[in-house]
Amino acid sequence: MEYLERYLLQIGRHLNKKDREDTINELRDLLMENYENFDGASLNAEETMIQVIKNFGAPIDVASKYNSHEPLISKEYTPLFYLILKIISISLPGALVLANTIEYFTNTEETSIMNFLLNTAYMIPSIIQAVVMALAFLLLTFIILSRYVQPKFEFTEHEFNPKTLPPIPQDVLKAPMWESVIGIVGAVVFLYLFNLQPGLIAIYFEGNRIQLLNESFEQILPFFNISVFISLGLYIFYLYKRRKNFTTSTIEFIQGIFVGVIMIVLAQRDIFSPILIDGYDLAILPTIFRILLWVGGIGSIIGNVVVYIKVLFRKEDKK
Amino acid sequence: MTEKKDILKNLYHELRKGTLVLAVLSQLKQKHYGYSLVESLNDKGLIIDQNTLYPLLRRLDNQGLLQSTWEVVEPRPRKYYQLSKLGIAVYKELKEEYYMNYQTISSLLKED
Repeated sequence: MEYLERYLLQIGRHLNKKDREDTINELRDLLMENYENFDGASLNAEETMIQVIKNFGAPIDVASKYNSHEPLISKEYTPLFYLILKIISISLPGALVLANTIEYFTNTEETSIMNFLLNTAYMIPSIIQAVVMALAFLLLTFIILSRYVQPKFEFTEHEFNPKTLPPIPQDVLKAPMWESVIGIVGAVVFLYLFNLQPGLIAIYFEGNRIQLLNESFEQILPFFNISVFISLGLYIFYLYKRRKNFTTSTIEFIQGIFVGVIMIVLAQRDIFSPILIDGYDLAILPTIFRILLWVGGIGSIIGNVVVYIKVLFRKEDKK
Repeated sequence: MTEKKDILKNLYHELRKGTLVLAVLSQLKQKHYGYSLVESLNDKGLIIDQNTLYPLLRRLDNQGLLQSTWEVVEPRPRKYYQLSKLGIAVYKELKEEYYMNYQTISSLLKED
């Protein structure tokens, strides 16, 4: 009955949160009734369920009938809206990155891959802002169209093949949207602070600022940057796909171990500036930070190993 | 020809839509779950799509005309619907209104 659950999951994504569970449970019962009473002697169990689902309709069409409130964008306009949404979501960031790349290689005297990647990463907030504004404008346009303009084309229900329904992500492979957004924002903030404004990472005391990290940290920084770029790539992928897979879990595992090792290396190096404040003995602070780096490094390694073992076990279970 | 077909299709749809609620309420003096109600209506000649009936049941339930309960009937939980007190009262008045309309329309059509 895997197809049934995959189908219900997709319907649920288009339902109001308030009635979602109740509607899904009722639909599960209804589809099982249809399955048990389906007249298809030549079909096996899986083929029967696929046929039942196909007869029932595309998830988005089914969900639209169960939602008690009218959607903001009418179902006649929905396919066109999603098509334009996809085009904008892909082409706008692509165009901005391309423009930035051309600008970087034509106007920068000393170019390097790391600088180029950093330059591109600093663009992410602008890209997000541009995409959000474009999508808001698109949404507004389609809401107005749905209210005041009757489309000339006739609405046809979506055709769909139940075999193409996305699989149900296992718990360990779920990638919630908020997690990806926080990850992207965190990565950009990290790159900005440590590469462009390292002076801000400091002890603030009575209007004075004492920089925390010395030049020794800068030798390790490129390795940290590599790790953050990998995270950034992963989070952007998760934001789009909303799920992890075996390959991304493996990359995440390697990246986690890599970060753990870097943190342990940092804990062993003298990366902190002397913190001198009259009347206070703050020699303990670098020691605390070192302990935290040790704990963080070992925690990152153990945590990633545990998560990856879980992924491997789930993979075996599925076989 | 196609235009006539389209017009008729829309008019049939509107004609049917007005009486569908009455038909569903009429069957819910006894407890029914969605699938059994579809079957019951189909057997009596009222062909109704599942994706029309289920949302309608939920709407009537939200309006308080039906009372719904989840019951575990092997092999899985199932949602049953039945007329509520308000539903019984509304059904009674709706039925009377329908009969009055029916008589009026019938006499009008006899003049044809």
